Amino acid sequence: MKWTNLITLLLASMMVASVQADPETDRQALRDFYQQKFPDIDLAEFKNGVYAIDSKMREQWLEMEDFPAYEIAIDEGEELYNTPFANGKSYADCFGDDPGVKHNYPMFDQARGGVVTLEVAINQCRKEHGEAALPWLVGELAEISAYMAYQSRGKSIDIKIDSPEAIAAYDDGEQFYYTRRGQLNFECSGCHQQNVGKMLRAERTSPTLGHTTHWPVYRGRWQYVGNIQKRFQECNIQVRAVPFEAQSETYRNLEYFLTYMSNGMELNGPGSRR
Amino acid sequence: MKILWISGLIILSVAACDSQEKVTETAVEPAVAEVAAVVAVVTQTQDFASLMQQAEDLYMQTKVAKHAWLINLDRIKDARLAAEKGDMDTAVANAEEAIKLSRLALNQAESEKSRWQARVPQ
Repeated sequence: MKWTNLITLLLASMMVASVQADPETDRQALRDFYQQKFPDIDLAEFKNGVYAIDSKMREQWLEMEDFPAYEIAIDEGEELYNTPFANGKSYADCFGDDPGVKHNYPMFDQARGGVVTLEVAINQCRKEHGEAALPWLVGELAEISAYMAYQSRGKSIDIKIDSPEAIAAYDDGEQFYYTRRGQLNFECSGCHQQNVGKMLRAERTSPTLGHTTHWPVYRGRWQYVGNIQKRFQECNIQVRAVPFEAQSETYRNLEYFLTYMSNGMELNGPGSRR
Repeated sequence: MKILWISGLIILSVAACDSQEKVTETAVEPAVAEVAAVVAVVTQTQDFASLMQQAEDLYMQTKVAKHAWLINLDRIKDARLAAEKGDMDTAVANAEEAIKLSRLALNQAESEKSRWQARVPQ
């Protein structure tokens, strides 16, 4: 092989390496980005989303938290979680004695060859025990998820990316997050990184870091508890893009990437937002 | 007297022929216009069908590329509705816009294949 070919090959492999950074390097770079952007805010505070960077909105939110609207969903979710299936089994047969397992989700399931979110795991559990799957975005599934999130409060997000297939799923989610789409030509990071903290109409844009710590969420404009993929759909619609199906591979990979970015952060869901 | 009769008959025949020609002319003119209109509608409908096929194919390409735009769906729906109402001008205009917008969406998909990487914090 000629020297020129060897050099070309070396340069090409260096370029590939620079493009495909590993997830942990990405996560640290993201934390550094927010630390530089908001030097006076402890990064752990980002679990509170936009309320970490807007003191006035934080006051309103704290008052909302006195009588949180998501409490009913937690109660309903607890009842649903503890109601045995027709075959006598229950969710505990799938998730163990402690329903507080949200810190492990989404996870990459090697056997199934894809990302499994908590909502997918709940419906898988139902199907394995002869029950019908629940609708993805709102209603009973969001309530069960809210209860499990509540039971997971205080635990640190612990997402693992430990196989080439898992890395591919992470990469796909990362690409989605930074890719412009829709007629308005916006990428997720455009609002949540480049323009984080700025006002978009009446809303202040929230940081990427901590985006997944508090779901599912009771949103004032929804008037019910819904999960994060409902918000993904809304974001896509807001930039005039056709949204993807809830729990589609695209959104599961996006949730996987986004949750990994908050790895190590404390869960405090369910949450309430305007 | 005979000459008078013959002259009268000739005058009547000429008059009859003249009116016959006029009747034929007035009958043919709208018929030709009608056929032309039908031909125009058929041509426009064929053009529209071809445009719609193209619009739908391109929209499917944007879906596959994960870059479908909501407005493309709206334009395709508007085109169909206008065609159902027989408003082919509006139908064609909407189909053409859907095609144009889908091409823009595909351009976006292509250019974003590499541009996204520059936005990742380093």
